[in-house]
Amino acid sequence: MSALAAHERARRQRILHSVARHSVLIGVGVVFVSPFVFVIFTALMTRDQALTRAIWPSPFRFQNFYDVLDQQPLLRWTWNTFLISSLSSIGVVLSCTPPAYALARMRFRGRNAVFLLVLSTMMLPIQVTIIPLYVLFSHLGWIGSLKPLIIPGFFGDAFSIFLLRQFFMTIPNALTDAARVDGASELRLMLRVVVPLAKPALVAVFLFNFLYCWNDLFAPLLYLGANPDSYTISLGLSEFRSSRHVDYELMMAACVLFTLPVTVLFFLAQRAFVEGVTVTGVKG
Amino acid sequence: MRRPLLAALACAITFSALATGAATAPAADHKPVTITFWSAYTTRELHDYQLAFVGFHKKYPWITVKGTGNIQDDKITAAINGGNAPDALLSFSPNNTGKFCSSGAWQNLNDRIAKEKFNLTQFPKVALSYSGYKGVQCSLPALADAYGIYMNTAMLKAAGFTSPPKTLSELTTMAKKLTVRNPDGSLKRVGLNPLFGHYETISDGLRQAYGAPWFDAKGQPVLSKDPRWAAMLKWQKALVDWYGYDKLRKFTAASADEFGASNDFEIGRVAMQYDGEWRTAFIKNEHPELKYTTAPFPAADGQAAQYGSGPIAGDIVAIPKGSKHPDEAWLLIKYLASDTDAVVGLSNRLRNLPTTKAANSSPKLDKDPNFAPFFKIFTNTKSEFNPLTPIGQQYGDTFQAFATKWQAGKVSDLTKGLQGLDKQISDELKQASAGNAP
Amino acid sequence: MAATAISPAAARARRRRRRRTRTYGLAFLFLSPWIVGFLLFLVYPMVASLYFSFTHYDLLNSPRWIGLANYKYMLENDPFFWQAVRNTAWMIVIGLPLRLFWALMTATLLTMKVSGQRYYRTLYYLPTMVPPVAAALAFTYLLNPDLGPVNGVLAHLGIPGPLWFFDPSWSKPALVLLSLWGAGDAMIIYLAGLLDVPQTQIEAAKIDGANAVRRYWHVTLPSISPVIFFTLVTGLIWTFQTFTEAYVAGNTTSGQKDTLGEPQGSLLFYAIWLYQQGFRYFNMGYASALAWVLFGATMLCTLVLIKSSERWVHVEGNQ
Repeated sequence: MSALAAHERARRQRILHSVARHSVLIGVGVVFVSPFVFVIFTALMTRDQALTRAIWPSPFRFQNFYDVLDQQPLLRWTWNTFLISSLSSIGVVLSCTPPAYALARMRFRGRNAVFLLVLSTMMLPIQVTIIPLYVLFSHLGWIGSLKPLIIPGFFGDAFSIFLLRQFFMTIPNALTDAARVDGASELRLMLRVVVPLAKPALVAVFLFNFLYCWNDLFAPLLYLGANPDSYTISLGLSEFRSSRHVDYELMMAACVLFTLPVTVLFFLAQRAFVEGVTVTGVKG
Repeated sequence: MRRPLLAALACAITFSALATGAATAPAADHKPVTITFWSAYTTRELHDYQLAFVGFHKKYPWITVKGTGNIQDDKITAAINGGNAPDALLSFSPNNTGKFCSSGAWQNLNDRIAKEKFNLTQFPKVALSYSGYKGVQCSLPALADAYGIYMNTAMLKAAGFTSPPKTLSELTTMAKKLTVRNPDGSLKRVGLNPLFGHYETISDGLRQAYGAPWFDAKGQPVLSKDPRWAAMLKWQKALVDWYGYDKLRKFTAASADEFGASNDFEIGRVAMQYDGEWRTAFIKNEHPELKYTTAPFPAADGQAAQYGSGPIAGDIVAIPKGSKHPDEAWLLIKYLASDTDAVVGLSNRLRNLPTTKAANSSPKLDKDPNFAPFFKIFTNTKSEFNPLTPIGQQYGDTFQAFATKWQAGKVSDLTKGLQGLDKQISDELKQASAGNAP
Repeated sequence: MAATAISPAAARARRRRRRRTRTYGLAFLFLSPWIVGFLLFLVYPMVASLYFSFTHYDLLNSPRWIGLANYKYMLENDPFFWQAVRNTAWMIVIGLPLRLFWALMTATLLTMKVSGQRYYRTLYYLPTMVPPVAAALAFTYLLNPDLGPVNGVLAHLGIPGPLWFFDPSWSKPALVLLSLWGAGDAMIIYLAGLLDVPQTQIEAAKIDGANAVRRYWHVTLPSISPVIFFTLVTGLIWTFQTFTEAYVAGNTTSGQKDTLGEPQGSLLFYAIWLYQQGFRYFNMGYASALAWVLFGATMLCTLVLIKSSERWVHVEGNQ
């Protein structure tokens, strides 16, 4: 076979392989994407259509988004959720940076033991602590307020400490050694040297916690269930049925509105997410 | 030195106003106060209920009531424990009265009742049965529910039925004739949906139809000892199997929300439906064009004396532990429970049954022919409320779990199954009193 | 300077001790937010819940000591407990491996060299951004037997679709479908691991004549076994606590909101039964006992898994 023909055949094979690969990827992609598509379409249907098997809305009813905001206090829920997520995440960043710093960059005996202890707390099922915590919060009168969901964030979080510690350890010792020789205190080292270099990790910690709080159902269910005024979106939506007026098209519209903010956040911070995940998951 | 005297004078005036029940000009010392009132109502019903506060405010102008809806009992328990209980509340589920009365979660009203010589006999006996526990009156009945059967006039006429079913056999015949199937065998219209776990608790209606008791005199469950339970479950399953359990399941899965405008009965997916008297209000609001009639749920064959009775449910109003304004709260719950105009107004708007004899004979009560049968059901001597126990509604849940398995055909030996159920409920009762002095 | 003479060695030792104390003190200070949290939100509740587990406590009265009665009731008189155990075990033995397997397969797909790989990766990861409550609600609609598109598509293919969340035999598989859809978090971790497989070993295997499958089995998988181990352990601990999706799905499809775990208790997972006991019935003593049994079971299974890892997890250098 001439060199040209062989070249042609190789090229054709490459294209075929590429097409095959793309087809598989697209096929699997359809599986992942189709729920989004169906949900959004249903969110745009009229009530009568939502009760049928129709897939394509006709007419398009954008008013559903307005209706669901009208029918459910979705805006208040969103504000509550936002308050909890942002304040708690700030608390986590503030309260986890010093412990992570100590575990990563300060030398003291028993350091590894403490780190293992921190890690091991991640394995504790929350069910073991919720009942006394509930009793404690109810004695403090915090049940129904947002406090039980915000305050504990200011007292450390094992996963965030882990994440930050891993990252802090990647900062070259040379930088801190030099500053130490100059007589800088640990506090100054942490604030002036390590933290500025660790901004991506801090952002990742903030985002992870924000996302966790935004999505959480269990803690709001337990602590906020007594007070509809302080519901979060997840809690409010989970009670869609018990609020006695369930319509699928509105339910789907609410889901879309619930998912949108964090999806946007994700796209804006995509790199921080992936970095944060890689630091913990692989070299663990 | 004048202040204590003035206060005493104010007390006297207030007291006499309460004693006579008449609206008097408020004493100058009545500081304006806002009290909180929690209920389980939502949306339209909440709005309609809270209109009663207008009349209350007119009668006691210094008290403003701030109402909150969508509060169920678990939220109330949490609030009481958290110290942020409301001043007064309305509960949908007196099943927990037993628990709440005995623990003081709802304040004991005996003293107030005795001091003012508040007349408890104005409430029907059945209403008092679920508002107090073991001699402690810790709540007042405030509107009641009764259950019966709703029938679509046009559909019944087309099938040749002119009167409501009085026995379960008649019900079976009618339900079967009124059912329409699609060409592929699936259900298009269901005569009556007998499924447990769907919409209202039809097991209560059936229990009432047979007159089967939950507990014996010692408070132990008798589901396996009284043959009426087995008979009732067998009747239900026979009908379910006639429809085809899977087909019925599929039909039910496509049912819209019970309290939305697309309720099965309201849009004609079912010809007859077991439901409460408040359904009349929903229909009036959402589908006023629907022509229907109501009647008591049929009695079991051989239990003719049960006909005319039905399950009773009720709401109660109470003052929770930790109420910050218990005196004003007492005024409010008394008003909501016994002020004739208030009760009549609430009953008319919500289409719930008035719980005082005076309200029932009031000319201002809406005379809706579809509503009248429910009041008769409410006053029928055989109508019962689910008995109060220390475990609240838990035995009902346990039964429902069994019943949904039964209707799916997963219980091969009914007798054994009921014995196991009895043991389970008995164990739950025992567990609740574990550690107590015997 | 002091009149008493201190040897230079002793002086150095004293300086060192002072420095160490200072370091300890400083470390303690830095760790203090976590230490307070640890004591207040972990140690105290653990001890308290252990105490509650031996009492009857309904929140309205003070706890009443009943010894082992809760545990006895749990093991001997509570059929719902065993149902919850069975349901949770099903999820652990069937649901979790399926999810991780799917995540591994999709991650492997994402290692293929194609243009625009980045977009596929984002697409596959996107479902994990959806809050679990919204995802569960969406799936109750998608898998609705009469209204949902899944059964619609199946009908087009001539397959009668099951009742999904309305059928006790299909409700857990429906949950698994939901978890597969959102398996992107494990997928990303696997992807990172797969991209890290030493190319030299792959090349060596190729030279030895191994085909793609054998290369995958003998080189790739052992290389990412630590990652698999990590996802298994975290997945196991998480699956023991299955709650949110089951709660939402059970709530939305059952006609009543009082009984959880419908249909027929098929979605009654351990954490749901615990919630119902503790926060619906307010049997807080019993719920605490349930929590401690859960803790014990989780620890036991995790330890077994860790012990087994010595046999199949390849750490660098342990060839």
